[in-house]
Amino acid sequence: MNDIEKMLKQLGRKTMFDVSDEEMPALIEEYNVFMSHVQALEAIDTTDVEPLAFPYEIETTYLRDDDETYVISREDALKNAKNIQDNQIKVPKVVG
Amino acid sequence: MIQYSIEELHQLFASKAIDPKAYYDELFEEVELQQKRLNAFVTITKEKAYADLKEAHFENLLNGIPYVLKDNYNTKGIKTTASSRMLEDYVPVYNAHVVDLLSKQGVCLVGKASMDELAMGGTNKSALTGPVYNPWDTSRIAGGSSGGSAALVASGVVPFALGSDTGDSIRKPAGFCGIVGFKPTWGRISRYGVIPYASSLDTVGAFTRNVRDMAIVTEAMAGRDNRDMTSSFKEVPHYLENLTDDIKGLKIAVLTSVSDEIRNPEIKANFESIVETLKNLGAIVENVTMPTQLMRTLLPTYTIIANSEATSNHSCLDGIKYGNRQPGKTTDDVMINSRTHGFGDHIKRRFILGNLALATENQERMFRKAQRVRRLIVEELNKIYQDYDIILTPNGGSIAPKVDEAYDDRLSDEYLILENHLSLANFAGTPSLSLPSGFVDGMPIAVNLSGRIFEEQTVLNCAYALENALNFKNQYKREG
Amino acid sequence: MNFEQVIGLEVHCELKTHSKMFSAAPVTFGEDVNTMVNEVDLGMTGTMPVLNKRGVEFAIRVCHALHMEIDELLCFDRKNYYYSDLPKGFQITQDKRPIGRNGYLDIEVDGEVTRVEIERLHMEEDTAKQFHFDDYSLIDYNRAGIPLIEIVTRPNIGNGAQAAAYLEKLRQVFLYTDVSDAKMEEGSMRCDVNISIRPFGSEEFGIRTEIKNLNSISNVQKAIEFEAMRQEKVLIQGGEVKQETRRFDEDSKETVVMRAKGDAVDYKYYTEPNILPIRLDHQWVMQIKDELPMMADERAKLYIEKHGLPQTDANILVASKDISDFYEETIQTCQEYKLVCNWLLGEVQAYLNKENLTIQQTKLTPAYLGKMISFIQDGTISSKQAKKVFECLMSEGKDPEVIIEEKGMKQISDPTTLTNIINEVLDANEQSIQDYAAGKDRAVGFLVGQIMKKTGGQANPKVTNQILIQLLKARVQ
Repeated sequence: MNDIEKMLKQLGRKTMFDVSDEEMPALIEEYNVFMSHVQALEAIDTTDVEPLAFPYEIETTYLRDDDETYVISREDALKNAKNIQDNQIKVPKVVG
Repeated sequence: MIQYSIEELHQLFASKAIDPKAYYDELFEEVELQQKRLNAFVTITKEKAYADLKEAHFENLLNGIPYVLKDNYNTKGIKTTASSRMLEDYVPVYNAHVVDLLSKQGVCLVGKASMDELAMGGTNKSALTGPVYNPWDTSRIAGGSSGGSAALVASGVVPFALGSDTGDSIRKPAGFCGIVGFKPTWGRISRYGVIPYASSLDTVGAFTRNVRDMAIVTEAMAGRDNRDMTSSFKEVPHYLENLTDDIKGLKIAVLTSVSDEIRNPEIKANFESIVETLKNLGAIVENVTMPTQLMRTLLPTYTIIANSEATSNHSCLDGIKYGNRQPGKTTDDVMINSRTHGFGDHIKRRFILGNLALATENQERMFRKAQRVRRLIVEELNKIYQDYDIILTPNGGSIAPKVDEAYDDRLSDEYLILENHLSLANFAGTPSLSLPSGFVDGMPIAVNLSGRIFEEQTVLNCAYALENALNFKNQYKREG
Repeated sequence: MNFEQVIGLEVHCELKTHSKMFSAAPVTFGEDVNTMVNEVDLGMTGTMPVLNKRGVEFAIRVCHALHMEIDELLCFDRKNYYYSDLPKGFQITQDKRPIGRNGYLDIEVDGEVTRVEIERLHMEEDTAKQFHFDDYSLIDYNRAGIPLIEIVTRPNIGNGAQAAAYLEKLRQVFLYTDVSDAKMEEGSMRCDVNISIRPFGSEEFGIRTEIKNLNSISNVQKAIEFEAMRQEKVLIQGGEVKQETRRFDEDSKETVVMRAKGDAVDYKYYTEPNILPIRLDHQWVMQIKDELPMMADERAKLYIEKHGLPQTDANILVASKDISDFYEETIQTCQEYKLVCNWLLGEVQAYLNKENLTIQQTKLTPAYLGKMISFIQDGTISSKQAKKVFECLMSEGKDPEVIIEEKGMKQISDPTTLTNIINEVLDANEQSIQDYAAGKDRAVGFLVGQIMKKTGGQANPKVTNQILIQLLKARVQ
């Protein structure tokens, strides 16, 4: 496994995926395309240009009123969970 | 007779000219037929539609009108998969805001439409339920990511359907399917409850077969929602009431940086004829350009921003609280196994690359760089809007590709600019509408009209004028 | 070689708002599992965050109390990581632009005042609560989304005692600003420690470790003291301190490795795309400052300067906001400042300690305590009687006037009545008058005893003494 493959495998793990050996060639290919995109951007001079995180510069003043509350039933809360015990979601022991 | 527009159908129901129940019986026969032909539904909600119909009194335009939701709109009690294995059995416990808004108007839900998995694609080939076929030629794709919604409106099954648009996911399939597709301003319509792709680009929007219907549907959905902090407080105009096809003096910019890339002569000719038509309607039509180097960065900028935001947005899909949980020895294993099993290969690749761009050591060079370039792109675009009300471009450079020839990633210049320029409206959040403009090889083609932020009315008016001057209003294609 | 410690503290505090930071689900403690949630807290795909106004208000209060600069444009970021207690797969926080910057808190250790510099205060949300069993864990989402503020000091705390003093003071700030119950044992206040050591006089920082899992202020101090010693030993033995996360083991009173630096998670912070920058109303921010309750120091100053309390008493009073609040309410009805203070720090505190209660858990009210003290003051009851009244006050919560009535405790202070009684006693004790005349002081004590016996202990001792001496002198002449 070369360095890029190793890096991508690790990155996959950090993204909570197991990247199989069969999947690796396609990932490498897409990685190369991705890096060509990165390169294309490097060609653009962005000195003194701030990142734009929203489509347009806008501010809001709205804050939610703390006194109005809204809950769903516990039945609904757990409806889509696959493993439940004592009204809680059950997972293998989490080691902190 | 299942092909009426919203206004026609309302008229027929309200005047009791047709029996709604009989209409819906026939509609669901058609649904079965078209599903076999187009594979456009993930879920058909027949019972829900009849239940909705029972409550309908046809007192307003949308009351009793059948419609379809893209399967990334959360619907309480109705399976919502976003065409992903991860959400195969997911039954939401809440409704998207616009679903509630439309329900209040009395619409009848016919089904949930297929899409590219998590809206991350442009072909609809990545849907868990397989490709959606183009009603005009079933050997071709309907486009994506809102392919199911587009196909169902284009086959005349429903007069309107909702889609979502992150780069072109409404407008591209609308063009391929010969119908109207509209992405309003980012912030005009609440996104609450819509399974996201990339939040800073995502927009709720619709498909219809004519511009008047689009004005109706957009008006019904627009407005402030306190559950979406990015939704605007700006008052919503009466788009339908204010609709006019008088565009004399409207300043239209032809973005030649895009149109000059057209290689297909018929599409080129069609585009030129549209320019002429607009001039004949009294609009002031002039050519403008944007820097080519910047135009070539549309796809790179889009890819990096969209994938990065997507990987974060979909971190909640871990199989723990909901979704397709796979067993594992540790909780990490459960997450890894669930995600590995739950997502298509291409989605995983995009998440991994999105994560690459967000990683602290890369973020400045990749994600934040893309955000900086985004600002440059938006600034260039807004320069044009200082002088022009509308920017006109071809919708794309080709007709809908054959199912086995459709790919998402090509890097030629024609592709880089012509096939990706619709993302301009997502970068800048501007309203952008695709309108059928003709046919090439029996397949529909389209043009795109975009306007300044929150000027939906101007875009709708221009589209209305053009639609009236052309002959593609209410078109649909159905066989079988 | 002599080393100095360089310590920085990160404190998380849960805010007692009604609803969560970004969701409208209620903030509660001790409710049934998974009943205080909605789709937002469960990270249901498609949900969006909406910022809680009171959450912001509370953060601003603490900012003001810590003398911070407030950023009136609120910006939020995502902190991305995968963990089973993190429903969305990211936490919404303020990475780039915290609401508060550059504050301080003055602390006092062994009479020496030090200023702890505070770098930042930001708003964020809590995670779900996990319960661990032998081979599985259960997740309750009630806590998910509860508002948190995090307060980070500069690395300018010099030892464990200072750290403890800072935490105690900070806890007071949370209590006095009324934003949290700030209980470290229950997790509504949490502290992580960053600590390194370096040779005295050195400019360079040493390699630091982070200590987590500290559930009391005294444990923070113990952990720091242990860790500083540990690092010192490592360095003296020629070793290198490893950058790592450690936790405090309560049984062994030692810090143990949790994870090495290499395992550190990259949080990939970036702007939260679903929350636009929020412009705060400057008037509102200033109004919150104007309406800020008095902090402990200011109260102590007031007690000393305006109420004439000794400094030690004032400091003890404000050490507990409950007691200080009670004092302030009591003096509304009874301006005997010193007496009120004495009672609160004496009898009341002793009772609370004995019964292991907080003052709110008792039946005592400021109005009744004030009334009782007034009765002592005007001689209605004696100090001795007051102790009995106080017992009833605590156990039954009755009006002291009623208690005194019921127990027949009212003192006889009326001079005419007392004069008659005393004359009767003197008439019956000629020998004692003789003794008094002969200079035997014991006689007075004996006579008072007789008067008390006759009045069932209700004679006002002070008045009785006065009249008795007067009458004795008259008879002896």
